[in-house]
Amino acid sequence: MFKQLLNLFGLTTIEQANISVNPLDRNFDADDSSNSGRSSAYNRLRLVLMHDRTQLEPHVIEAMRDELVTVISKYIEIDKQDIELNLETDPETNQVALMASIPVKLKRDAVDAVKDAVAKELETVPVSKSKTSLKTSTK
Amino acid sequence: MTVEKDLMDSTEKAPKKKSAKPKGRVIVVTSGKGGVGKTTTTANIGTGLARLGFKVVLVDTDIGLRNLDILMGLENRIVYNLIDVLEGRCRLQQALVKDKRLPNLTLLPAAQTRDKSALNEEHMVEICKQLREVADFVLLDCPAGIEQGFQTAIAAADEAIVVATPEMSSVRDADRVIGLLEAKNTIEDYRLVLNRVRPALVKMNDMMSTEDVLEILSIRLLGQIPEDKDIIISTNRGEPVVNIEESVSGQAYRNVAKRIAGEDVPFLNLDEPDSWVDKLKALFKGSRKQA
Repeated sequence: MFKQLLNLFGLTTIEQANISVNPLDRNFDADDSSNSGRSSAYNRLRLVLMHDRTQLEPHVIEAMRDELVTVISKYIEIDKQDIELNLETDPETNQVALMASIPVKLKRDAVDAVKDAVAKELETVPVSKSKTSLKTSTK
Repeated sequence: MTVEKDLMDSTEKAPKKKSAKPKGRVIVVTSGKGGVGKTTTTANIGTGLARLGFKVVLVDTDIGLRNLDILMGLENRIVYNLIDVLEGRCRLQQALVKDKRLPNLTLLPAAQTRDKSALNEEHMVEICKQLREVADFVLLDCPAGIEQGFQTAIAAADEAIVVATPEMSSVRDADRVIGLLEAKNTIEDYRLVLNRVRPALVKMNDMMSTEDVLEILSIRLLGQIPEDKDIIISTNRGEPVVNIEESVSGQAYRNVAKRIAGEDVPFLNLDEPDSWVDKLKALFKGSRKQA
């Protein structure tokens, strides 16, 4: 089909002009999605390099995650299933940070109390009820 | 090992250029990954600098896997090599092979029948110390990898040129190399030559752009070289593409040479004008995606 199309448009300049003003030209940029070869290479590479540079193997991160859970659990009740621990890069400073998202379990009345307080103070701002993030920076 | 002062006497014929520096700069061309164009880049940048009138010595440090001689078209003129010099079978001057065209350009070939253990860091430093006395630029073609051969090659260098292609494996290896160069405090400066750039693929978002790679590596750009059949053709003829006036990649390499020499040359715009075929392809691709 592609070849037929090429032949169809192949020989005259009139068709060339038609194509260049075709509104479907926008498709040219439509590829800039997360599944283009370029962006997947870019994103995969960033991740790989982050691990290369910090010299942290995935299993080390797992071990760290388990230890963090143990330590934090001593002080506060957390949702052990939903913990996320990732290396991320700040695109502006190129600073690599270890980001830990550790959901905190609050007791029912505590949740209500927080909700009430928040509702009074900031009615327009949506608040995620029981998620608290801890941020740690590495080199 | 002695180097005569008249080593490159014939340079007088070449157009004289500034370079008030008393001693030559030693620049290592490295990449980590093999096959990305280190040797091609060394040959072309060296020839490019020689075309500007500088005295240049190219050193092939890839002992056992020499190729720089082939790219320069000098493979039939080799009598002695780097290891012969080290082991006292000849003087340094005798091992230097003169370029076919440029009298101010010479090659110090690697030994083909030996291995990398024949050359160590002290040897490299000593050889470069002598060469920089007589040359404006000493370019070291580094072996692939980050093992001893690499360490030996970078031991004597003041600056580095990191060569990579816009592919994940090449960029990853380049990142490792940059880390090792940074750890080496004798390397004062390093910049990237991005090789085999394919603007049409970048435009279609099928390949990482030069900007993408620079951002990921946090490195300054020395030049981007388009993928170009002229390079294959010129390599087969034993003639660096930089000597081919009408070639785009040749132009890119000529610009790189000028930048190394300190000139402020704008980067080539590699974008070809949109051909209608490209547009049709894009159109076709877009509609396929929606389907």
